[in-house]
Amino acid sequence: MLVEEIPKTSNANSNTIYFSSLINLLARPTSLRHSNLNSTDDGDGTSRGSKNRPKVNYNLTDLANKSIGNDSGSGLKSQQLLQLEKLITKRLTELHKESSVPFEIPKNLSFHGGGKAKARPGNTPTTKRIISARRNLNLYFEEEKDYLALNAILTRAYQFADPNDGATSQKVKKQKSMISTKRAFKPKLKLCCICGNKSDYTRCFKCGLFSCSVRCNKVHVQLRCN
Amino acid sequence: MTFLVIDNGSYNIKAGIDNVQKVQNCISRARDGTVYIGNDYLPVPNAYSGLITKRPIDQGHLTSWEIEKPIWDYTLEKIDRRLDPLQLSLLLTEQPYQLPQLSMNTDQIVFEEYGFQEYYRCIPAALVPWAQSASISTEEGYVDDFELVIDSGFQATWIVPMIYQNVYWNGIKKLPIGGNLLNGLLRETISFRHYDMTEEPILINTIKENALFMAKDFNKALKEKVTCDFVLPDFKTTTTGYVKKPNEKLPNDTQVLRLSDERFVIPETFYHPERIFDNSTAYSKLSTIQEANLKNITDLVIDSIMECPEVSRPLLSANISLVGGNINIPNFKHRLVDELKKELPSEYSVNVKQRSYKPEDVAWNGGVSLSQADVMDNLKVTKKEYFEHGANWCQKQFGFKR
Repeated sequence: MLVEEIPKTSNANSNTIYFSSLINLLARPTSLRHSNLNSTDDGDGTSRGSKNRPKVNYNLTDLANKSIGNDSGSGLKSQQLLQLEKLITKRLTELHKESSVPFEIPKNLSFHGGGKAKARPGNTPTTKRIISARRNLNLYFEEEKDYLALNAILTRAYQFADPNDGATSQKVKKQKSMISTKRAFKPKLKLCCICGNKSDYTRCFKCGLFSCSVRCNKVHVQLRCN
Repeated sequence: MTFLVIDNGSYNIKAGIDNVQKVQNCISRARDGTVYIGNDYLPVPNAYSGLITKRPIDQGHLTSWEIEKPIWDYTLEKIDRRLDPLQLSLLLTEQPYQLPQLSMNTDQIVFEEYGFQEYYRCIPAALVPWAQSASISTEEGYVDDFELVIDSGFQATWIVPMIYQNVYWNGIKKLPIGGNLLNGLLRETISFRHYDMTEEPILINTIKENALFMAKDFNKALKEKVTCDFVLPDFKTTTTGYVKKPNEKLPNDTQVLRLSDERFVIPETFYHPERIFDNSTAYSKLSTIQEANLKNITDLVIDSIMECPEVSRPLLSANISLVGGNINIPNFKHRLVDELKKELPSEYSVNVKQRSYKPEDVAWNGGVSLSQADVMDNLKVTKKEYFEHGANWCQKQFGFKR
């Protein structure tokens, strides 16, 4: 067996895939590699499957991160980052939704322009299938089998979010030291939720929204605080 | 072979052979149930109120060909009634990092449904270096070797370094803030402070395009709070609404929306992405959100430059191209250059290229010059090659590299 799947351990994330390779000689520690090379020189075929041989674990997320130069150190996403990504996605969907009214695609939607009748739902079986497939983006994402591509896509989508600065890897830090050793502290924009003025000091103790004055806070308690 | 260039944006399709034709990439349904394709609703002002739209492009990914196909048919008809895809070549754009399955669907539709002769697919930013800069237009066929493209569109803002006309994939950054998100924030703010506009996407978009601006100095702008009056449509004198001119006299019954800090606080989201969570009680209590460090457009541009080879960094910062609809927000360029100058090493010069095209048309114009360049012969895929190797092979030629 050349590739074997390692059962998921307790600390593994459900969306992490491990596999080990028994043929990749380069990935082994050098000392072991020498002994293994010697053993293969003997022509002993059984050593290939022997249990003494070290197994190399590849974490696909790790590999993908490395290949795009975004080595996050641990390889696994922290619980905090996952939660943050979930919240960002939720909020972005909320904001991107242009209308609350559902819009079903009308049946036999086609454009009949000029004199030519172009009422053909698809020339070949493949295009017919593509055009008539009423599937949303999430379904396509779930079905994608190319995990490396998927990882690349999702990394891009969330790379603007960073739960804590300390997680950046050595490599990235080294590059950044070109400009400054550490990212300068950036204050967040705190604006009153009622009138929009600056409100650096006061937050509602119940819901956490900012307000600039007692007057605005009273309005806020009446309208927004729940 | 004549090339048809289609810049398939999520808001507007920019298409044409030598003249750009803009078609909204959506189907829309009016209150009375009539369904319009593309721009068809524009001559019917009564349909504007309560118009709902459905877009084939979802989060930048071209998802639904059921909707996209009629819009493309409509677009081809708009360009020229006699246009026959069987006699044409196609240059098409898609967003960076599109789901491979969806890109392959596109390739299949292009060859099997429309039957284009030759085909090339790339990301819009890859076409930008080919759109010649105005200052050096005297040199025939001049193409810049280093260029940092900031493409701020309807769905997201992409930062793409281009080195020797190749996309430098490691340096691509995405900020999920685009025109649609600004619309969403504006809708929430206006609906809270003034009138309920949750079902008026067309009006919200008009307000965004006409009244919003980027503050040159945010703190100063917040103190000044320059107001403007937006005249709401009454469907007698105006159907879209407009910004009131300073000395204009209005009839007594006109409804006016007085906008002040909304005008620049909403575009400020580019520099303070945490603002998307502001003013919503569902998120304000969560510590994950409060402690999160969201990178703004400046951070991402600098990250992108720093991912590139060291020698190319100053060259990229000195050759920035701003494309996409959001660049039309007044002062966008001024503010971005200011912020980048603060963050980049002082010996790097920050320079935005001047182009004679509108920011949203740059990629299309670049596509036209690329389609006429000799290099196109090596890039394109012919129908014969497609039927020989299949869609998977096509994706390998055009898809993103990791």
